[in-house]
Amino acid sequence: MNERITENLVRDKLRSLGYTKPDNGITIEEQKSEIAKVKSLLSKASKNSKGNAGYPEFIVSNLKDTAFLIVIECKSDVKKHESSNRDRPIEYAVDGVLHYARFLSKHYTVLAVAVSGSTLSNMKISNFLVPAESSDVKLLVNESEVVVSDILPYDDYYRLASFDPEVAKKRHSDLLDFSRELHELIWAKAKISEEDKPLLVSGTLIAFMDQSFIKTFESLPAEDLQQAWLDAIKRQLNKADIPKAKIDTMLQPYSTIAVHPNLGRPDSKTAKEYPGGVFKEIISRICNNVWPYISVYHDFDVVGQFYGEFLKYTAGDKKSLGIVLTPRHITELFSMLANVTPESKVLDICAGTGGFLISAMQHMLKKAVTDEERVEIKRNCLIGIENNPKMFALAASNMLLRGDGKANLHQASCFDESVVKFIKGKKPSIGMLNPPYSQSKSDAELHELYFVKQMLDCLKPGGVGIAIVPMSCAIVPNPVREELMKHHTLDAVMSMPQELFYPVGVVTCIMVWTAGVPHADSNLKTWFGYWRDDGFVKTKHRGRIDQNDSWPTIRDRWVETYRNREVHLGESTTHMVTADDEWCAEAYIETDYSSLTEEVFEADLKRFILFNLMLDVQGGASVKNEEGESGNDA
Amino acid sequence: MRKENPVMTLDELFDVRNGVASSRLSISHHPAPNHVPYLRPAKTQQRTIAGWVPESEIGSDNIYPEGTLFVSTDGAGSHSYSYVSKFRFACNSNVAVLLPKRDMSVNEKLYYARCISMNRHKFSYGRKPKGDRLKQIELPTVPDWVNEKIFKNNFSSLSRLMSLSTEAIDITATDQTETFVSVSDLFNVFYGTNLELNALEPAENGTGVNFVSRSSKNNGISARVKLLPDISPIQGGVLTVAGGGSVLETFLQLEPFYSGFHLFYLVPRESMCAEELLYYASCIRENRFRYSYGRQANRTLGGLKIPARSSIPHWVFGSLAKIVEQVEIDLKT
Repeated sequence: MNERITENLVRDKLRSLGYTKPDNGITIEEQKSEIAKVKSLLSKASKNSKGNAGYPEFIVSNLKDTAFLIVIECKSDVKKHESSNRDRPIEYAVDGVLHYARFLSKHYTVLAVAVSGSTLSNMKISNFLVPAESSDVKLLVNESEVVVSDILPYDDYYRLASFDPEVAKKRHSDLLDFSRELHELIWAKAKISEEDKPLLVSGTLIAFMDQSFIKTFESLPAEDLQQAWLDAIKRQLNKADIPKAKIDTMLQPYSTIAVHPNLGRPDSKTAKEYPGGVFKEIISRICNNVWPYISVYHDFDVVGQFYGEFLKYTAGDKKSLGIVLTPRHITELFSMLANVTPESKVLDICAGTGGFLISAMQHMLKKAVTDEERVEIKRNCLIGIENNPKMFALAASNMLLRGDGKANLHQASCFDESVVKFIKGKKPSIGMLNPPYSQSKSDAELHELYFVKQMLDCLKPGGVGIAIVPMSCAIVPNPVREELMKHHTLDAVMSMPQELFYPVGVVTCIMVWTAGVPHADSNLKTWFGYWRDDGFVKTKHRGRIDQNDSWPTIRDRWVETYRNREVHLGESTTHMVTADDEWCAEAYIETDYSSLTEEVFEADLKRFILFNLMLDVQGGASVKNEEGESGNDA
Repeated sequence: MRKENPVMTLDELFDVRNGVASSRLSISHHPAPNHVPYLRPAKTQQRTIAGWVPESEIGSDNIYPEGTLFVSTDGAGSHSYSYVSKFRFACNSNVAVLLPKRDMSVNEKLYYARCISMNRHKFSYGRKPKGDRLKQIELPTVPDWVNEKIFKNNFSSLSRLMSLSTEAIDITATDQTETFVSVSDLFNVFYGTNLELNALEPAENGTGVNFVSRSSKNNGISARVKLLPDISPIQGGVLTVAGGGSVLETFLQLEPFYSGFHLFYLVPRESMCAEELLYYASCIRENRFRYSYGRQANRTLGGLKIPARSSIPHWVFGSLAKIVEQVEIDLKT
């Protein structure tokens, strides 16, 4: 039997699956690789482990994501498919391909394919996933956890590999690293103002949707690039079927960048470093590092991520305008608390970069069954308002990158009557809100709770409105509290972790309201949750992250206790409140004094004794002092 | 020739050993079985514990016994400070361990630790007490009184605290049903003298009164200040409670004191013994979770629920005497 026959079968299969189509960016190499990194990783990987170079039958790489490889190993005899211990790489296909994958996974996420058999009908195929920087070998499964036992088209392989949580996590941290690197480049070379940086990223991503731009930008001269970039954005906006007026609003922020002098023809000093100009360098880095994510991770607010990352390094507007972006896990939590379904209509009157809408859309699409439902969700079920033109452009581009939802995004003040009237007509059933904070000092009408009220007034009666607001909204007396309760029911309030918005220091709580039902009429006890630990930890370079993967468990527990209105000592309680009361768990949950044990008390006593001993040491001892004073008196 | 107090260099008295670099160690932040404390340079001995490391990783050669003298060799604010350890330990590469070449009592080591620390002025962050510089530090011979010092009677506060303790009570006599009452049921809640520390004059040693602020450190006392002619201090025997800052840090003050901004004090409505007051301080502290930067205790302190006097656990009574005795025993050994 001949291994070449198997290889021919695989080659035919790859061809029929479109691997060899011109211009798809895919390269198939056989028995060798020109990629320097692969060469060096395999330089000591021979299967007889004598330290010579080893090469699998096929290595498939793609320009779209240079950190992902498919390797294929063939054996002609199906009996030689897999050994019991997977430790005989010379003789067995599975053993062999995993042998190579272990070497390559030092740098790449590897999809390892083992093929054995010499006819199409007896061919046996196993697929494994080895995430980068890991030695875990996982059998490749599809979305419904069924084991894949055939060779798949490239995009399917890529998609299934990407949904592996470990791969996704690695990608996410790569993206974080890249956002730092990009910030560095823009800061040092392009000198672009803080608020324009995220626009630069989002504009570039939209421009990439334009096939002619993504293929040609490398060859354009520096002085033409900006115009080509703007034209590409314009073409995409026109294609997206957005009303003319909205296109103009959206384009405006991008045109400032398109004429920015620092991005144009490089001066002689910059030209030495970046002959194609800084702008081309930025674009091509985004192309290599960010673009691949967009096509795979639809639930990921890439633009918001960059916006947040760029803000970290600067004084920015994070305080002056009161803009704090909602962390991604909280947008996810909102969708779960509201229990969004394909029938929901979700409204965000302070959309920002669109984080809530994107997360809600993901939840809805997950539950949608038919294509008709999917189209309906994208077209009609997500409504957003954003006042700041630059933020609006970010939100709109964010939605556009997901190919949907843009029709119902409005650039206006959320207090604008005509917009409000239009939105009320849509009868939204769920509201999500993270209003701008602390603008109320200059104008009482801009108190966070007025935004909450505005949102609730827009919802249809019985709708659910969820808002994340500073703790002061829950405890400081304010006339708007009474107004809110007069028309709406306060269903629940949850105290959030102290450093949720790190590095911005604001203590917040989540309020859940039932729209259109006066609180007194509901005559319902409000549920209070003490949600101060979301499992996230502060890290030196990555900000607050879920380092121990504890969030999913904590989240599910939170959602479950809220939905069933469970009461647990130290965790949650229910209480009848009025506008004059405090609306927070801290005021009503019971203290668990059983934790004040003899040991705890003794530790307190020891501290007290120590303090007294320290007084002796410092010479200001109490007894001596008393004597001194009485001596003076006498 | 008068040389009563001959001088020796440090390396004549001690073998100098260096600690282990932290780079390949897994340091945990909490004590664990088979772990030893891992020490770093610090200005105070409490702060020298950087974490705990597995004994297996550090190797038995690098673990030193209780009563060993060590010196900080790096750090702008901590170099040269020397201490005697109360426990087995390992240390990082910025700490040098001094193993005596002859038998030495703990008192002698403490004396030398003090002497070495006194050389701090000769070094700086740029010129560190490492290697030969450390070994060439000159040390005096130990005076006779060093070994005669014993701790007994040096801490007058111990006997005073002992006298504050009540007799342990019969367990069966107490009602152990859990009933809760408000803070204001048991105490009169007052707002303190509300003085600003920077407007007050610091007092010289041994005079003046305590100034209690919202601190969580040092029993809430942040300074000692001179008496003001027109404001009389709050009398001792009360609890102080921070209304903001380190919210709900509650302490028993035995001495008269002035208080700062947002500081409350609680006067028991019926007379209570020191142990009861200390227990209520702990109870009030248990409620800290209710407050954050955004929510302060000033409006809600009186309404906090605490155990009624009849629900105070029996182990509270006599606890002060029990621990003072333990401390005295520890100090003598």
